[in-house]
Amino acid sequence: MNEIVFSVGGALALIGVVAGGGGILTYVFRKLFADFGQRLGPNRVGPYGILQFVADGIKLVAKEDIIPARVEHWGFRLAPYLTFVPAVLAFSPIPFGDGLIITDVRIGLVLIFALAALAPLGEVVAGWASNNKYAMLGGLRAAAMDVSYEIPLLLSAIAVMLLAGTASTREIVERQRELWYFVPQILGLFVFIVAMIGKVGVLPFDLPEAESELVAGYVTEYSGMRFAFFFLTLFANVFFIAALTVTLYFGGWLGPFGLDLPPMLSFIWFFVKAGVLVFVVFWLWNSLPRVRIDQFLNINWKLLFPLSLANLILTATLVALGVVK
Amino acid sequence: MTEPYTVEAQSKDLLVLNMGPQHPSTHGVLRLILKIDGEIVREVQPVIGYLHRGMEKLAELGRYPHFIIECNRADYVASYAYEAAYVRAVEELAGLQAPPRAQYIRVICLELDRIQSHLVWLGTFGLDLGVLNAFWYGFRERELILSLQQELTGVRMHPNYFRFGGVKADLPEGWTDKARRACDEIERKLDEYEEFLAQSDTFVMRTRGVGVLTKEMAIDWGVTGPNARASGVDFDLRRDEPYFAYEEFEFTIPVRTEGDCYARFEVRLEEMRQSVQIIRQALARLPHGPILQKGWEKGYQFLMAPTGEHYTRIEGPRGEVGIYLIGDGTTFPYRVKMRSPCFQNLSVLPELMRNTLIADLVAINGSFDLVMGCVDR
Repeated sequence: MNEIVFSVGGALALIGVVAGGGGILTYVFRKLFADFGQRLGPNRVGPYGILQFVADGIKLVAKEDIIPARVEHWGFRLAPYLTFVPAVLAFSPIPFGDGLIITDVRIGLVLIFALAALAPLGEVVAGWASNNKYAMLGGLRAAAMDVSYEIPLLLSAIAVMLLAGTASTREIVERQRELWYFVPQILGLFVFIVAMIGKVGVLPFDLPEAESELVAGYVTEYSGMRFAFFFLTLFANVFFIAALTVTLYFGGWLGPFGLDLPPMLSFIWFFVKAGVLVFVVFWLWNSLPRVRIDQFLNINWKLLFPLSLANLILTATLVALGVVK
Repeated sequence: MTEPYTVEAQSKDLLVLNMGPQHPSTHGVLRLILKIDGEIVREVQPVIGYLHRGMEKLAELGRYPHFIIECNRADYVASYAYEAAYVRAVEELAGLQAPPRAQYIRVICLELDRIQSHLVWLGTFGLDLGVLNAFWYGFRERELILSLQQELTGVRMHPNYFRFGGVKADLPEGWTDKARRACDEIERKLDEYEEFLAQSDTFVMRTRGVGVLTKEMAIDWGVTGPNARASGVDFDLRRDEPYFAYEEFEFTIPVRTEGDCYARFEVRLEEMRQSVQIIRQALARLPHGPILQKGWEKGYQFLMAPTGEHYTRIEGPRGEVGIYLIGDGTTFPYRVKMRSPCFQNLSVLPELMRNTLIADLVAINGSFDLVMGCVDR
């Protein structure tokens, strides 16, 4: 009985955190974006416009539910959930604090990547089902990108796994008590962040929905709440990049220089670090032009893939020789 | 063009994609019918005319001054260029001569207009490449110029400020100081743009070697303005056929030989700097005196141009703006033909866009600085 209550409570908390966090991130993004562009940003709803995302949410729920004629009905309805649900579930093995983890399994990292790998499926389905050429091009781009960034992403994560000797996210964080992994894995960190930004699809790698080329890519035909799911997924994923990077490379809930907080408050360090990374992602988003699809594939196959492979071999050698650990 | 795109399509199964007239990056109402093979564009067919307002016919229906307010709506981003070309054509046909102060004011207006037009281009080009902030920055500095123009002419766009034989009103008090300050500000910001875009590897990656227009092609297709100068055509009417008071100023014409999107970006950025120089010189040496030719203070409404025809061209922000004017001795023009730089520039685009990627097509289209009002007229 207890277990069921805990599971249901955990699942609800997760959806609440992701949806609410994603909503707040849209506000933060818009404010930052406005600052980068020397504008004001949302400033009407609530103090400093902070309730803007609530108003947006209400608006999106209240909108007419439009399904264009001659779309593939099942795919069109299914696609938003295909992207949103895995994006939420991927948060479950992430340790937000000491003991603040929803599913602590031995294969946590594998589970995360398995769930995250489902995301492009929704994009491809959305692109195909929309019966729109722009949407289809966007979906195809998502598929082409998926096969190219997954490999460097996984190879650099495997290097961390080797170093920690475990795939449990909680234990990976525990192993970083002496040394955060971004020091021995600086190469891996670089590959990981670039590939991860490609995975989430924000500028400079937002090719599946490149608004100046493909109108809105695979979300072209979506509106109202269905669109909101895609939008929320995007921002949830931005936070996902930060959360996963913090877990793998920046010591999760551990404080710097041994300044650990008590277990109940340890999530503060986690969110501070994640916040800094989110800011970095938004910063890139606001200052870099979009790369071309062939350039993106070249970056992944010709730069990131060899780098991550070299990093993996190097790490494996060092671990085998007992230099690190 | 780089090799990956020139691979011949194996199948004839090309997808027809309709881009525009409602598309974020066709800059107004340009419609492109693309035949694509995956991401590769095999054939482009532009469709124009969505903004056709029959301007040349309208010109015949009003008296000579009436067309001033009409023609500056042709290229709504750079309103002064058409106005200047038309006013100059009528002046030359009717044998009028604006006093030196008016000529200087015209040059200042035209150069301010060139800067603001290029700033709009910079912003929208950034938008095409995904740098939304370039858009805000460009429009922020444009605001400086628009408020200057508002103070001078009463409106932000579509000024109706030039008159046959002069200009409508003299500079307001303190305007020259404000203009000087705006020049300083803009010059400082131009360095910022260079840092923001030209020194960004991603920007260079997206623009260098993309959409190469060779010198021969530029000449063959009648491409003019910054687009031609980026391809090595060293020709600028301000220097080669000076009009108004341009022969009295020192400025250089930036020319690049690469002919790619990046060269077009560089040329426009440098042109803005040169325009700032011209404005500074004009403000410093602004002559005193009347602003309208004597005797024309009231009478321009019923200007009667003699029978005859005349072609005049000036250097607009987008290239050669020409007016071909036929007078028949009445107060109405018999025929006005507008030579649009955008129309000529657009005509070469299908050649450049063939066998590129969709993303490159957007970059090329953006780098050419088309205004559909100018194409369709």
